Amino acid sequence: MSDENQPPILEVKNLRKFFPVYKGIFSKHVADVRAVDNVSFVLNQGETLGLVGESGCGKTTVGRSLSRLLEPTSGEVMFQGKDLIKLSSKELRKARRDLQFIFQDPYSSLNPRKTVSDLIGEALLFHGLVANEEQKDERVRELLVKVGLSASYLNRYPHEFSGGQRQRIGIARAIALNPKLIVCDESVSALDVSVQAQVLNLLMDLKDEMGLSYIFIAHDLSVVKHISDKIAVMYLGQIVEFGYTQDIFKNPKHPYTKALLSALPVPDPTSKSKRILLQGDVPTPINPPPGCYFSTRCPEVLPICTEIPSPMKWVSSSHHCKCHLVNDRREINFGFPDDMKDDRRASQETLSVSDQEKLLKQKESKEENG
Amino acid sequence: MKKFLFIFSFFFLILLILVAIAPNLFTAQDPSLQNLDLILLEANSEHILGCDWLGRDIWSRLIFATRYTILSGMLVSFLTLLIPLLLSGYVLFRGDFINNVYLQIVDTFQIFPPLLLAILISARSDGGFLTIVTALVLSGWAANGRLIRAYLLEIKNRDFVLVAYSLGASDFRIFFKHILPNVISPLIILFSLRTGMMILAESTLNFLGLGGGEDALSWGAMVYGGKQFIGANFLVSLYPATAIALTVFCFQVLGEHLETKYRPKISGRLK
Repeated sequence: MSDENQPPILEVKNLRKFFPVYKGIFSKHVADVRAVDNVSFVLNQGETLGLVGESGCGKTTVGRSLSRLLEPTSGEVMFQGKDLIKLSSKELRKARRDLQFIFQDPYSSLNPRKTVSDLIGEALLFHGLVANEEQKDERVRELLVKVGLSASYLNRYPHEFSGGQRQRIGIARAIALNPKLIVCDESVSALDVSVQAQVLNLLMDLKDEMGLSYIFIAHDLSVVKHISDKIAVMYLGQIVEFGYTQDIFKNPKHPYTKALLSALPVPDPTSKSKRILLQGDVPTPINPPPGCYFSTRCPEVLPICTEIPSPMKWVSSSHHCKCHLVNDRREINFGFPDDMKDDRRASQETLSVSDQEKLLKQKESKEENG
Repeated sequence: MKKFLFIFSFFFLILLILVAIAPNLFTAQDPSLQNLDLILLEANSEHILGCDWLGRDIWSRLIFATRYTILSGMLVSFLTLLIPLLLSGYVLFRGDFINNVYLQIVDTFQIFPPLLLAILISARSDGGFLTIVTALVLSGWAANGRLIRAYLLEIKNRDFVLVAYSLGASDFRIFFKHILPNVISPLIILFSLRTGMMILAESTLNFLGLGGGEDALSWGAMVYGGKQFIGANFLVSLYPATAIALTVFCFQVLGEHLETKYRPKISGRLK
């Protein structure tokens, strides 16, 4: 498990990625698609963070912005003490050694013209981790065995493998450089269920063996529950709830998280599931609603939700939620320890006093009515 | 039938290349030896295709002109692929602005009908092999400009390029090691199709007398020279014209065969 005393391996602060929309013959900038809107989180060494949310909510964009495969609009990505956003392209290439990716599609993520040896070992050569072809082949054989493939596959081409085997090659490629953090972007969702389990177990074994941290992007909650230490729930480019896996699953606070979890199938035919069915569609990220982004579909919506967005509130020191309905217990129960005053985890934003009164009143009247 | 055409074209082109490399193996006559007694001679056992208006052996001239035609056709075709390949490879890794500049330049070149541009360029200088090649390359490269950029762009958007970036590969490496190997096969097809067209264009320029006049050792120039005597002996023009037609046809057949074979979806001939 994680070691809280070590400095976190990754700190993301106010990450934004807007895709500009141009219109007309002069390509006038008319709007932005807010794919990632003010995302902050912290990942400790050896932890697995599950990033969940429906399609189009910006999970993948977060992952790709981290190592600037997509250039973020603004924000800070402190990885091993360095801000990746500020690095020059040469320094960035070096830093990328420690931050690897495993992609969703095991078919298109392997270059069809390269042998397994080149696919896995190419980066070893150009980063100077091995001196020549023989050493590279030697290392690739070790890696193949490590991910559960035969060392004799060295000179085969990707089309000779099944989906699960290809994903293992992708994993071998990602761990070849001895990275510290691996971003798994829907890495198992293209595989069938039995192979999914194998690959997940492989990932967890590798984590223990090599001391890896993962950011695990997925839409399958049961997979995320299986592998993650912490979970971040995303909706429309924002993290709406963040906490330890067991806290989120046992005690979800945000109405969106509740709705997501209610969609999980329960392996018990007699249990009556109380499925929360959300009405309507996800609003467009070009023009999100003024208050809480979820207010258009929220079953527990208050009038204030449609006007003012909620700040990130503390349910407990490790469980944060962006919802007006949640009581912020940060000041009451936890206070602000001196060394935490500058902590980026302690969100600076709070509601104004008048808004707080308004919120309180609306909550009371709701309780009286219902 | 299609298969027969392909086999025929393939071996014909091999033969042509052999002829271009070693013309002396195919004829004993000197292509530039003039003989007043033999002017517009009919075919006989010594001069198997007869002689032209200066009494030169037509067969040996055809054989020796092959090198000029094949070399210029292939060289021009190669350069008209290489130039847009390198240019669009460069702009591929640059921003929108540079990309738009590149596309505007391509479009500007494409405003001119290619042959007209080639005529303009070659008419300004004294003619000769290099002039023809330069003129054809300058007029022909833009036609591939957008196409090749599209090929590269398609590969660049594949996941494995993203993976290469995440591994820390440089732009240079990504272009030459990851993108280029994946566009080689459409480029070879394009090369074959283009070579035929470029041979035709080269012959046209020579036929118009822009490649060094009627004495140049080229099939186009031979047709050009022979046309003044078309009433006396039309065969003088017909032989080189046939050679041009046959060669262009064979390159076309080869190109189309490769296209159906390796890119059946794109060429729309998948059954």
